[in-house]
Amino acid sequence: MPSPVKPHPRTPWQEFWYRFRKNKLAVVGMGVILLYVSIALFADFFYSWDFVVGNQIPNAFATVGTKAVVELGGKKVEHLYILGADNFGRDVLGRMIHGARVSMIIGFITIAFAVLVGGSLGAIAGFYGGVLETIIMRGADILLAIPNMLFALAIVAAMGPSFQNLLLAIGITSVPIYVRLVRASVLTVKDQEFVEAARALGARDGRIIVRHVLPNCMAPVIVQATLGIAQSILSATFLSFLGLGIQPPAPEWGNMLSEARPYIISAPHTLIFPGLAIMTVILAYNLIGDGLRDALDPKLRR
Amino acid sequence: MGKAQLSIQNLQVEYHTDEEVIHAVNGISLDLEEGESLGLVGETGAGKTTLALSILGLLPKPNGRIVDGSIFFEGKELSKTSEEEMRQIRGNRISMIFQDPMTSLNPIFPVGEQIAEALEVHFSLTKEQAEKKTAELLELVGIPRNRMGEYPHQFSGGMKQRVVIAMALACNPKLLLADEPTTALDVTIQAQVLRMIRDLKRRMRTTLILISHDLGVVAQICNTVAIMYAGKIMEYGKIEDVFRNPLHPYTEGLFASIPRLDRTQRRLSSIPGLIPDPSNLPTGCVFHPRCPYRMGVCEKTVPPLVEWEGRKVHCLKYREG
Repeated sequence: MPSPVKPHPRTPWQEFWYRFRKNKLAVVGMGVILLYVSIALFADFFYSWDFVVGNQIPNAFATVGTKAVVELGGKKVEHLYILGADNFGRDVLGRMIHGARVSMIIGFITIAFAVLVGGSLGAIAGFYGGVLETIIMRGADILLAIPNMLFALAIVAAMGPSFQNLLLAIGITSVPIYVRLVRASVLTVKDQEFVEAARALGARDGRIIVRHVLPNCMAPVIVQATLGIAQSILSATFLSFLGLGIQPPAPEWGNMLSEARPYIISAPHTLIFPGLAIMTVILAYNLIGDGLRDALDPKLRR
Repeated sequence: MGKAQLSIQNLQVEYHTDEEVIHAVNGISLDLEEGESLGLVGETGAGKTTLALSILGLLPKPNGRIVDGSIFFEGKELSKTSEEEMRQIRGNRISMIFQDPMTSLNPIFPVGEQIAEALEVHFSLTKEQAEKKTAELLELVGIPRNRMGEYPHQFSGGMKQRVVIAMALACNPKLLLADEPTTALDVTIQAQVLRMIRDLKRRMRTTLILISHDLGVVAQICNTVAIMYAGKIMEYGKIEDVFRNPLHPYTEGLFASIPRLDRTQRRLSSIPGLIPDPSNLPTGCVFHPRCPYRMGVCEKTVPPLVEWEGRKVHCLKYREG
């Protein structure tokens, strides 16, 4: 029998996008992040690595918009310091652009790691319960009991400051949130009838978890992950600021702030611009997070 | 009895919680021949769903367990079968239709994918083959094949129940357990779905156990009926016999509580009292506290199964000789 009304086929993804688009601030946030990501991707196209780490002592503290002669690959070239130069005469904008690369990568990798590890542990804990759950959840509680920053600091301090250790430290500290979040969602989803129905169809546990339970738990995880990226970037800049993250002369927003600290009065541009970069990125991620929460929350539909 | 497709003997199922033991099924014996359709009728809490779940080996773990008795399906004892073997039987040889079509479909996958899942789990089909079979199944339950890619929320309740039925029928099961398949539907849709189940059952020659609390629903589809009360079968026999001349006082009470159109009734009649607490069952006959024909012995003696006028009944009113 033909259905009298042809329902407009809208996939969940389209439905989500339709609702997300209504939140203008979130769309702006997404635009900002896309801009930062593309800048980070094409950093080498704007400024060469050698230039942003090489000293140009004669141009130290060049103010915003100064034109000066710089040495690049043995040649003397005229260069416009769009956002001025720092204490070694290095281009602030160039360093910020290359620093964006580090921040973007750290944000994504640490959260991807945390969601993957925390998510799987949480799914196992929630789905199977029992002793396994107790072990996993108490482990997560132990990690949560240690202040995040302190724990990341301890890891980096013990293993030595390097990019990998920075990723590991921030990644591990982010894991327990996702364990708890995914477990809680799994608990509400696993008793629904369609899970029972899948079991009655003869599906294995693995299939039930991956196909039926986890996809129905994704909404809060996506929101938390977006906010988590902001938190990760902040942690990374903080650790770099303390000298435990990215080591100079490699540029990173945190260590740029750290190096600029003594010159806050005499050359404020060396501090203000990296600070603004951190602020806008964090703000943008938070706006996206809020937008996602509204778009994915089933209670707020329509 | 040897050729019964499904044979349940003295099945007892309990749920253990920290405080108490709930006796959900207390010694049920049933034999189903191939192609038969049995209606399982009883009030909420009579143990109907528990019985179905124990056939599928899906009793909630770790609380629910089969304490005694056995379930034979095609000569194989299901309660002693390994989990992996049970998994291969589920959805393939025995499948189940759940009560609420609104919640028994996964909201985030198109219905076509969900029907195909049973095929994916049990057979290795190519994508095209699975899609073709899914389209056939959809048409079998009266849904146009071009709606395969749509999501559950785009279907009405009756349509969703059809999808659920298509899922259950995907692998041509030998035994179909339908747990109140029409309870959540409108009366008009109920009739459609019931007619469809009956036709499909005939066409595919599936054995059917239909769980319901609605005697009318059972009358439309089944040839035998078992009346359940507090985890026990009170009366079991051919549907015409039971409906024409109920023997057990409980069955009598059930029929008396159906509203009638041909008589003026100020109030609907009901069976006095409530179904007993399954953690604290009455001694003797479980029905005696509510029984209008109660005798002194009913409190002490558990009524044996008596063959009476071609059916089986658990009541001390009927004694051989």
